[in-house]
Amino acid sequence: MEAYQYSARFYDALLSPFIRAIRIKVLKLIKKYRYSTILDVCCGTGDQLKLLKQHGFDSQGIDISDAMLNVARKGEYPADCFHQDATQMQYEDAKFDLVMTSFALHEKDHTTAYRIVQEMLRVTSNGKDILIVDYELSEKTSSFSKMLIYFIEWLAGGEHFRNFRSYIEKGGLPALLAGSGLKEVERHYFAQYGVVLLLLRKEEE
Amino acid sequence: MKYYIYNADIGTFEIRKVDHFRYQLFINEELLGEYESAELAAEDVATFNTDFVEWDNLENELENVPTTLSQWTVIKGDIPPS
Repeated sequence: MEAYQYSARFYDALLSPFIRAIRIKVLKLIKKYRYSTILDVCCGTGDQLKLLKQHGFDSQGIDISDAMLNVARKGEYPADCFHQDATQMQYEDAKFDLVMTSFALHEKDHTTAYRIVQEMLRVTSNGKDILIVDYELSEKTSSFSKMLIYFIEWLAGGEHFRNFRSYIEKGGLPALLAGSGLKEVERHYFAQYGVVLLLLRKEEE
Repeated sequence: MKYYIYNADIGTFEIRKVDHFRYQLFINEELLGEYESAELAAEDVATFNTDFVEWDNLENELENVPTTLSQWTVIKGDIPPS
């Protein structure tokens, strides 16, 4: 059975209020750096894509969950999104100015998350950017935020929670990005230092 | 160590160099973001994209906001304790 078969329908209603500030920050960064070709990897319900479309940006997304994609394709600003495996994207190399993913890597096993990052790198143009939003738990993260994040992930349950714990234990994003050669351009924190937004640049070869 | 300040009515923005290619933007000691360059941080202040709501809501209401880093005050020396 597909992981999001039932939860896809109420996913946005449940989580959108908490991540609205992040969605808006992503929109602001897209305006600031004037990206023209944008891909949202593991786009889920298309919440970010819909916000971008509402503000006049052309962007597309991919996800492996048909239940999520069905939600993404509905609404006032239906997202342009496709069923694709993020570890084997059906795009040529260096196709996009910005390739982003939000809250997707922590729920994958390390090998899958690593392969997604490598694929994101492959489809990003040289000198262009990758944007990642995900959990980053450190000594700066408030106790309340840590507790809330663990609770949310525990609710997600099963494999999702196991992968989240493994993601944290293995060192989170720094471990996944080690050796990628990406250069950090901007970094912003949310949820009392529990969530990080990284804007990274793929250096010219 | 060199750092930059801009005194706004709602508080003091500071851009501090942390290391090579890493600058932090603060207002009243609250970290707003980290940037590859001081210019990128100053741009967010100039365009009211700091995520500090009290500032960002003043867009289109203020005059004489520094549009580039060169209009910020440069301070040389250690950052004073808050």
